[in-house]
Amino acid sequence: MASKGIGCLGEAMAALRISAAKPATTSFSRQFTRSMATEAPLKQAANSPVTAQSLMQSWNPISTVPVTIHSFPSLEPQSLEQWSVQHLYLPLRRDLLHLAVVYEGDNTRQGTASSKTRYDVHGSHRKMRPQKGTGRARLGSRQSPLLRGGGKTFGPHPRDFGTRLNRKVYDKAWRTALSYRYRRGELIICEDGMELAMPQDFDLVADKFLKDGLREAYLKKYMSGVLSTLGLGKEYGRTLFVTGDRRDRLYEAMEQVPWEGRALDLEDVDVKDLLETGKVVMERSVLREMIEQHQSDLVSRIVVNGLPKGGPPLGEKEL
Amino acid sequence: MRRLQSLQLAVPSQCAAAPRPSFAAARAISTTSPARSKNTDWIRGKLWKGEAPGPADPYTQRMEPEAQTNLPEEALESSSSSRSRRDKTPAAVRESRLALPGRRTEVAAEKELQASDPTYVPAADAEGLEEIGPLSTWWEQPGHWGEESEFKGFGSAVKVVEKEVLEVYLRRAVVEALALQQKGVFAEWATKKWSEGGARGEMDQALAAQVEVQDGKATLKGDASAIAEALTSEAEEVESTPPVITVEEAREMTKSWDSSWKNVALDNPLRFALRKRLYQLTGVLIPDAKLAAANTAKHILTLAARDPKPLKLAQVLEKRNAFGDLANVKVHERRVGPIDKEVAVGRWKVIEEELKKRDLPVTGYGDAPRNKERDWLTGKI
Repeated sequence: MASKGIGCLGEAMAALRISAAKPATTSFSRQFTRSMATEAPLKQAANSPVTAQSLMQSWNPISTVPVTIHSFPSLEPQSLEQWSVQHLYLPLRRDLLHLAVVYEGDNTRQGTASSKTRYDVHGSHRKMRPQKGTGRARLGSRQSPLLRGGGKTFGPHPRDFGTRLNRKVYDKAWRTALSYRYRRGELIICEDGMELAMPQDFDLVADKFLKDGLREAYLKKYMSGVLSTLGLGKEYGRTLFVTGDRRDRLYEAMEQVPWEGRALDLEDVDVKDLLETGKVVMERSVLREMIEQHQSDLVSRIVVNGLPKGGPPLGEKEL
Repeated sequence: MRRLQSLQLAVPSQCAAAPRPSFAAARAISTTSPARSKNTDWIRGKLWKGEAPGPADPYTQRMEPEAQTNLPEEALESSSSSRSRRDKTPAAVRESRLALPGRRTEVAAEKELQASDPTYVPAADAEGLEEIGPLSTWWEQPGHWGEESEFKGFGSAVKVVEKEVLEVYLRRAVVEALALQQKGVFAEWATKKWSEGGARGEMDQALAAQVEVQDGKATLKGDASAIAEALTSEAEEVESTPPVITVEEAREMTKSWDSSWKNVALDNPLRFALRKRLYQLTGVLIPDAKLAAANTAKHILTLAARDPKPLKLAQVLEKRNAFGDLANVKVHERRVGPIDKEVAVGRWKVIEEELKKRDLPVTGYGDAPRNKERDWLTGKI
């Protein structure tokens, strides 16, 4: 016991000597580190190689984050916008996302299951056999839940499974989902009017001369090629395309390859859809609309000096 | 054309000995003058609500009579055959380069064939028949999916993964951006598409320039105007892929440069331009959120280069030769199944023979269904 204590002391002394021998360039506070305690390895940012992870951790945007607008389908970067961190760089809150997804799931339940009680089952209510004297169990009407063909005792009846969620929570969850995508580099914003440009040779004959499934087969092969070239296909975890309204070519092509992803218009998109696929590709106007619709926690409805307090600006163009 | 023929037909002096077409055909000349038909176009448009189908004058279309002209035979033949061929395929199909399936053809029925050819023997099996897949696999068949249907995005189709090669391309991008800045056209060209620069010469030109960095400010020493000229030239885009650089070449190149060029400080436009150019040349698209963290070109390289995929545990163990000196441990390439065990003791051949003798399936269940009990136990039914 005693020898161990002496050993500890020795170590501490050695540590002291080392810290004293360090060059004077170290800061004042560093010289008085508590060398009696267990020393944690000091961070030496200059010497350790910079990794992608450490780079990302060192970046803490305060007001805005950049968003590149691409052309579609070539995915050529076209312009640069700055979006507020309140819109696209919220911290990940899994609890909010869970609440939102459950809320959406509850509200999309059909709730039409319906069974008949003994009072709904068709037939006469005559007593099936005398109460006494047959040697068998007493029995009332044919609709008894104990009998085959009888009513169901506590069966399902149509009801609304919908639950409620505070609007501000849901809106924040929506932006959290978008932020999560952005942070992971899985959110690709394209210019308005996103539509799949087909080869001219196809356009010439597409409507009249490609019949009996030839057109669908062509779209299938072409779209698979496009998605794999752009890194959006199945091997990258599928892709969700969001547009303002239905775009015939894009939607038709995506319907041929449901295993590569899907295309939805703005009204059909939920938080769950945003979280589902590997990549999300959406129009610039769709992003604006989404955030405009889901910023109730940033925008006040109380009017002060004749003006309600608005949220941060939506996407300011930089380049 | 049709009008002219009908006019010729209508000339009475011609039809002396030649077989005459019927009266209706001969009366192919229209009583409606072309000028009048022009006048009626508007009402046809109103009636059909848009483009009216069919010719303006239906009477001229009555039955094409055999051509009876004074033209020499050769000219006649060539013109008539080419017209008939042209008439069959629509213009759109002719212009499109897609390989479309041919028209439906019908073969004479067996009875007719037998009547015409006494040596005809009906086939008893399908041997020797050409196999044609269904239309759903039409585009998968060789020769049907051509160059015209290939999609080409903005980014390079060949994705660069090696860090050394990426560094070469990044240097090229930095030099090009600096050249544009020196020429004072960077603001205008930052978001535009730069010329792809498929030629090796252009790349060597860009890489030959020296970059000197002092406190993040970079200056370009070299032929900046020539580099900028090559980028901004509106010359026709030659379909060419960026020159392929091998890893060894790239290593040589990166060694020859002073590594200080990587300290060039980035601002938003430069970041955007480098990202775009890097995507164009290498197919690597750095996400916005990552790119914004980069302050120097070195950081871009760190973010763009992907670490090699980590080995699987089995590969690590094999590499380390972890079980080499353990006498009681054997490593197999795949799971040891019941057949492998029988093979190991030399019984499998016998079993296989016996099974075959009894006409039982060697592996699997044959026609017998899988046992239901397993599904009951696992709760599938």
